[in-house]
Formats: sequence, C-alpha cells, structure tokens
Amino acid sequence: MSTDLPRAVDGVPLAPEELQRYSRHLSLPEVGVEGQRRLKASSVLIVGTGGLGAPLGMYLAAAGIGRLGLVDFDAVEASNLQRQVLFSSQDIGRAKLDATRERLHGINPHVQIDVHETRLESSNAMEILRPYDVVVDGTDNFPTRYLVNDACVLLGKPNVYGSIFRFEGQASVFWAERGPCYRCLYEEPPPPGLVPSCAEGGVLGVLPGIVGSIQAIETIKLLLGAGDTLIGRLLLFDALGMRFRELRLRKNSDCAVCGDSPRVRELIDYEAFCGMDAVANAAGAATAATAATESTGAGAAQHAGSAALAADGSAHGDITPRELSERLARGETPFVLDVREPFEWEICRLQGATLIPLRELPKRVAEVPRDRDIVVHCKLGGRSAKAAAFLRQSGYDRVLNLTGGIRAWSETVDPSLPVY
Amino acid sequence: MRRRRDGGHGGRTFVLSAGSKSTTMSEGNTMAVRILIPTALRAFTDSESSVEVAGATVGELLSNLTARYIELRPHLFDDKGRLRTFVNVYVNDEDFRSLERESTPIKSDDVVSIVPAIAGGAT
Repeated sequence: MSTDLPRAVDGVPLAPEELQRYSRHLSLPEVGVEGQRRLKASSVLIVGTGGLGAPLGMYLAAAGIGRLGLVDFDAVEASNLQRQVLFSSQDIGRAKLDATRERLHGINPHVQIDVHETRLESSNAMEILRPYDVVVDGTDNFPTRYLVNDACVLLGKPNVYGSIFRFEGQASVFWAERGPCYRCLYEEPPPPGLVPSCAEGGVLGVLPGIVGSIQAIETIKLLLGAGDTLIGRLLLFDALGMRFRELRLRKNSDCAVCGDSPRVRELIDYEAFCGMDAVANAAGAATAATAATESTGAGAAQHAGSAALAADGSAHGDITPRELSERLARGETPFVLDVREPFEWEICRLQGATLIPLRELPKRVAEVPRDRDIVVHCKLGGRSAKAAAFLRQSGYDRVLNLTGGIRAWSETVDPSLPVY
Repeated sequence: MRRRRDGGHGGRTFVLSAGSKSTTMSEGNTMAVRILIPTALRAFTDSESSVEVAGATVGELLSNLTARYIELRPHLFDDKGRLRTFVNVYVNDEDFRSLERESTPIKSDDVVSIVPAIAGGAT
C-alpha cells in the first residue's frame, strides 16, 4: 500500500554536513538523497514529551525531520527519569519543553523545533495540528487521545498511535482517509478510575523506548512512502512474554467521527466525553466498586481531580495542609483517611492516618467513623476528591479533602516526608 | 465494512448472550480454548496471562470465564450484560464484532484475546 504524503522536495537541498550526517540513510535504497530531502521537507507534531516522546523526539530529530513540533506543559520530575531518557538529572524542575528543545537541538541543529507550551485542548488543537504532515500521539490520557484522533480525522492527517501500560504496549497508524481511526478501535473510553494509569499501575521504564521507537519508524515510513505501515493493524507488545502480536483493525462504517454518517463534525468537550466531570466522577468511583482505581497524579487523573473539585464547587470541602497541621496542633482529632495504594503508604504516610485504598473504599466504608471530621488525602488530591465525593454521597457530611495531597503536606508542613 | 466470517462453522452456532450467567453447556464437556488476558486484567485472574476455558462460541467462553473469575465480570460487561465499549475481543486476529459477535463459533485451536484500551505514554 502506498502511503505517500504529497510533498514538494524541490528547493530543499542537503548541505555537505548533512550528507555526511545522514550517510547511513543515503545508502538505503528506500531513503537515498531523495528520501532524505523528503524528510527534511517534512514536519511532525509530537503530542506529549514524556516516555514515548523521548525516543520519538530523539530519533526523529536524528533522522533529519525538517520541523518538529512539541506539545507539553509539564516540568521534569525525578520520577520521570526511569524512562524519559531524553532528560538528565540536572533537568529536574525545568520545563520539559525547554529541556527537550535543548537536547534535540544538540542531537541535530538542522532540525527546526517549534514548542507549544500548552495543554492540547479542543480550542487550540486544530490550529496546533494543522501545520504538520504527521501527528504522533505520545499522550497519557484518554481525553487527549480522543482529541488528537478527532482533530486528525477532521484535518485528514495520519495519527501515529502508541500506548503503554505496565509491560504492555500498543501501536498503530490511524488515518481515516486510508483506514480505521482510534474510535473505530475503541468507540468510547473507559470511565475514569476503571483503568489504572501508569502512575498508579506502573510501567517498565524500557517499554516506552520500544513503543516510541516503533512510532518513530512508522512516522518515517509515512513520510517516505516506504514499506507497509501499521494502517489497519494493531501491534501488541508484551514485554514479559516477549511477544509481538498483530490484530486486524477494520474501519467502522458506523464510527462517530470517520464513519459513513459522522455524528462528530467538530471537536467536542473531551473531558465530558471521558466522564471526567464531577458527578460522573463520583458516580464512577462509587459504581466501579471493586474496580475503582485512579491515577496518582499527572495527566488524566489530574484533570479528573481538578475537574471534580471545580465542578462540585467543593472549595467548602477542602482543607490545606497548613490548616490541617494547625488543627492537629490544637489537639483536634479528625479521622485522616489515606486512599492511596499500599506501596505509596510504604514510601511515606501521615502520622495517625488510616489506609483504605480508593478501590476498596466502597467495600470498607463502614471502617470510616460517622461521628468525626474526615480528612481524606492521596498523593496529589485527585483520588481523594473522588473518595470525598463518594463519602458525601454515602451520607458523610463532615468530609474534607486535603488540597495538594501528601505532596503538598511535604512541601508546606513536613519537608522530611519523601516526595515520589 | 463489517465482514462476517464465512464457512466452516455453520452447523454449530450456539446463540447466547454474553450477559447470560448460565450456559447450555457446562465447562468440562466441551473443548477448552485459550483466552489471553491483558496485564490490566490479570489482577482478576489470579495473575494468569492465559486461561483455558470451555465453550463453543465467544459468548460461552466469556460467560464461563467470568463465572470462574467473578471479579473480572464488571471489567468486561456493563450492568446490562453488554461488552464494554473500551474492551475488544479478538478471535485470532479478527475483532469479534466483524465476525458474529457473541455467537462467533470457536474452534479448539483458536486463540481469543481480550484487548482493553490503555492510555499511558507521557507520564
């Protein structure tokens, strides 16, 4: 199948230094000088400069893509370094985009780097994606994945997809003009909390290296029009079993965005689509019962948490770490409920707290006293907002959510607590 | 275009809703088929990555699988017993929705995969 992207390469010469740099590409019949000029005339947008974005950015820059766009808004954290090999220890605290731009420029100064230091949203996605030939999805949450998919379908662009969890990866190329899109694969996202994020479920550090590298290969093949891309195929990688498998994907004629009579004709509210408004959130946490798990922080869960807080207007139900420490100092004895996972409890905990992981809360709610003030906390405030909403629904009326979680406690009250 | 699998299995179609708890065939007196369990759901299958389950159709297999691992059930099916929209089931490399869904007949050497949506990547 030819997957040529139309591109004029005339007037895009390679300088002598570039001919040297790309010599191993130039000897490949599938690339050659013509193909290398094609890559130089190309532009690729990488959404997310994290685990997948690291190999993607480095390999695509090294390969000589003419213009690379990067979208992210996070800062580098110590917990990123286990897999986001683009960053070094000295980068902790820096904006990811600054560190990425510097590193990619160091790898290949011939590449133009555009930075979009923002969260990709319905209001800006079309404008950000439009000037690129290929979009690569290296995000970490469902709302952004559906947003990237729909924007690509509406703009007619290929979307090079990769996703990882624990020891497993998925990769494909979604291009509605020539095959299925992400919605043909999964019509709807899971409700928040039903599928744990990498932050909670964990991820093998090398895994994004494999999946991101596969995405980089597919991107280059799309730009060159070489080989068979993953259009219409879902590649599954199982690192524990060390197996690659391949599943056939078919275009869904009833697909909401790329089907015969699409119902989605412009970008929608993806937070709402993914059920991340407060009510759905609280209900989700309650009904998912045995399943309710949630991310410890970044990405989707942060969205979920902040959305829940904003939407149920629970400022009245919040307590800051400083306020809690003052109340404890006054001798008050609220029931401090920690809804994190046991492995997080092992890392650090608040003195006198009780551990009931969020997913066990519906079953163990009887352990929460009804005659005391309840202060719920997690790592950053997302899971505890769900727990607080659940407790209020269950008839508890003295529930406070510790804003910023144990991380904020560590930053403002007790710096001796380790941050993770 | 949705395509249906053709030929070879016409005489052996046990139409059965995946939501149904009982099956017409009990486990043991019919062939066992391998179901691959994704990492995300192994917490509910005693960490097994692959489970042998009896059944002649996809519906029977899933029904027997979730009867054996009851905690798995809400992850695969909604309250109305419908397969959740973010969980896909493949018979070998084909999406069961492009075959005959729950009534898709199964041969003993088929491999059934459960493939849920995963979103990780950046963090």
